[in-house]
Amino acid sequence: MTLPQRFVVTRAEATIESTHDLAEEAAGHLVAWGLPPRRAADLRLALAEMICNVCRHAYAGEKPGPLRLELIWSEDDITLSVAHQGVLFDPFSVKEPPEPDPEDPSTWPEGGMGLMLIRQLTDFIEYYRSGGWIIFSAIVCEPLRQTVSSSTDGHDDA
Amino acid sequence: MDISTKKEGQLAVIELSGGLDAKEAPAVKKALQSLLAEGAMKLVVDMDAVNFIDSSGLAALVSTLLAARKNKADVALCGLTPAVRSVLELTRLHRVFTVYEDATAAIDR
Repeated sequence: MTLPQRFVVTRAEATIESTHDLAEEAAGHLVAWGLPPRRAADLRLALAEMICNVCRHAYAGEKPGPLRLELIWSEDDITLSVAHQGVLFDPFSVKEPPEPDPEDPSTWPEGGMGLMLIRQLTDFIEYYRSGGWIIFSAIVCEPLRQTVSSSTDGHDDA
Repeated sequence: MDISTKKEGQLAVIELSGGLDAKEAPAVKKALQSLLAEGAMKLVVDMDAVNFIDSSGLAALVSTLLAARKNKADVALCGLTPAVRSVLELTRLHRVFTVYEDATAAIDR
């Protein structure tokens, strides 16, 4: 078994259209590395929400910019990282929508659910600058429990 | 995502198939709200073939529910797959939507 398992897309375009394929490809690697499909589906959703956040906030009102995606499964955790070169936006400043009250339509959220899902589906999120990139990262405690044969690099890994 | 609609009087049934994500949500929202604008008072959203939903997909459904309320119309979801049910529960929106096992149950309600 080779640790860590790693999947990298070094340069994609941050578009809503690319989100589905990137998240699905990443989830495919997680399943291939031994993560149960239901759990991989959860992380696919978290990753899709992270990419959407970059598209909507980091490159809001601009042409789609570069995006780098990295997925690492080390011994005890999985790290999902989405890096961009757009505007700094702070996911920690986003308030979660209120608990929806069935009797009160003013509490039914039409937005803000993406970050709530990321927080619920992962254990820890980070936001920092490194090497000219702004990195949005989420960590999930998940021991690597099955034997895997080799590490996997992305389609345009450096 | 495939979207198909059936209308009978004030009842409209919309069948969705595929992933209801940020890319597809605008078209789904438009289709749902068109049905309300055309006078549907009972709108059944059959999600039996929806294998993925994200926050944008949820937002499209919530917007439709809010628009329906303004028209005094009803919206019901049915045929939730485990993936969709799980996301509805994570966001607590299962408490807001009326959910039926399948389209027949939703139509007969």
